[in-house]
Amino acid sequence: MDKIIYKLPCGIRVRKEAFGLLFYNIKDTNLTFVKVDGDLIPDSLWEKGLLAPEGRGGREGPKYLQILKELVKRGLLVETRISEQ
Amino acid sequence: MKQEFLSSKTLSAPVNVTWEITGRCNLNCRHCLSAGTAQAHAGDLSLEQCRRFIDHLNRIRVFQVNIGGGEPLLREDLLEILDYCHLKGIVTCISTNGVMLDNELAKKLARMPLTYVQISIDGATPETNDRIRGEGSYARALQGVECLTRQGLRNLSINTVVLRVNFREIHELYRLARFYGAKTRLSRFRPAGRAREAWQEYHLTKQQILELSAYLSEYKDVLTGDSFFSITAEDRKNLGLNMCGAAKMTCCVAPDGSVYPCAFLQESYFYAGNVLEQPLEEIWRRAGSFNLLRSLKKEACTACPRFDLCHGGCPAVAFFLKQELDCPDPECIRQISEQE
Repeated sequence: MDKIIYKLPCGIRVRKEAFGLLFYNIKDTNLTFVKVDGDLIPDSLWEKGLLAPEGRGGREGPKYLQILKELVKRGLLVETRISEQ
Repeated sequence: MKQEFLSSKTLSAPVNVTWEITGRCNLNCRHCLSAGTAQAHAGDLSLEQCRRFIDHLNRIRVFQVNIGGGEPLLREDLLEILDYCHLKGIVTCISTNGVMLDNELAKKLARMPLTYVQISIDGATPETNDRIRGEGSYARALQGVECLTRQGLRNLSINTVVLRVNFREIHELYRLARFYGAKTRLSRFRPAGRAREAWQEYHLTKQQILELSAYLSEYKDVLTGDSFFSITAEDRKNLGLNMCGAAKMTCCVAPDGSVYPCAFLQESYFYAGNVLEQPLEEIWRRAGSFNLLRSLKKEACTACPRFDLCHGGCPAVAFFLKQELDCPDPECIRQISEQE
């Protein structure tokens, strides 16, 4: 069975800020400011560069998934399937 | 959009740090911003101190370090410092006069994918450049450009400080950079360091400022860093930062570890601390001079239709020319246009 994870694309760095997330592209040194509730994003994104969508449950779950989809749309995250075996 | 975030909140750490890694230099440029400051003679950090500082930059997630000086290639351990930054995932941008670059060094730099190199050339002819940067410096810098190009360095730019005496050669420098597959980066001349002595002779005339603004609108591939927001037109609004980034996105670390809001404000009044005595993260959050710049309100500018484009311009130029921080940029294009 495959599992979906989200990763930072190659060359993208990120850190958490009071307003949300600050992305940096090493290929052109451009910055992207993303206003989101940064507390919804697990630390594994800046520590390991990846996160699993099941990181947040309950009422925050849908909002969290919406943020991830939006970041994928903007090219700031990539969705990958990995085998759970 | 970034201005909205920078105006209302302090970032947790700088995005990039200008690190003057040595005060030593092998040229004696007339417009040097670093020469003549006390820090230029105070000695450099050791390699071990540099490594500890880079570890800290990594911990607070600084993305980029702009390495300058002095002439950074004079440090025998520069490649080790660069390697250590890259090992931590930190992008480096080296600002060099290029005169020490040979094929062997160029090859090593070209193999570092996280390195950007800027070579300073201040005239399209040896006569113009050498009058500013010293005899023979044009030929040696160009040789440096050729070495880097030959070795396939991808992230190369030619940096020019725009002066009254090289203004007519700007486009020729642009063509020169294109010939070598490099980008052109234009920097603003500011009356800091030794440049104060050359200010009267070198600063742009009002007509040149107007022409430069038009030129930057036409050639949008010309990089300006955060240099020219006081004169850039609406059509360059999204090409870079439209406000001073000092103490908001960036800061400067002098050769001895002293911290200042930017490379042009290395004055005791703006001293914020020393990375050998206090973590940069703490200096960034607490320094009085940083908080002063963050809270600076240029009241005279807020009603200006250009305010969103420049936020009052460069505080350093205002400080040196008017001895005030909260006055409009003395080279504000709107004021110049109204006078002409």
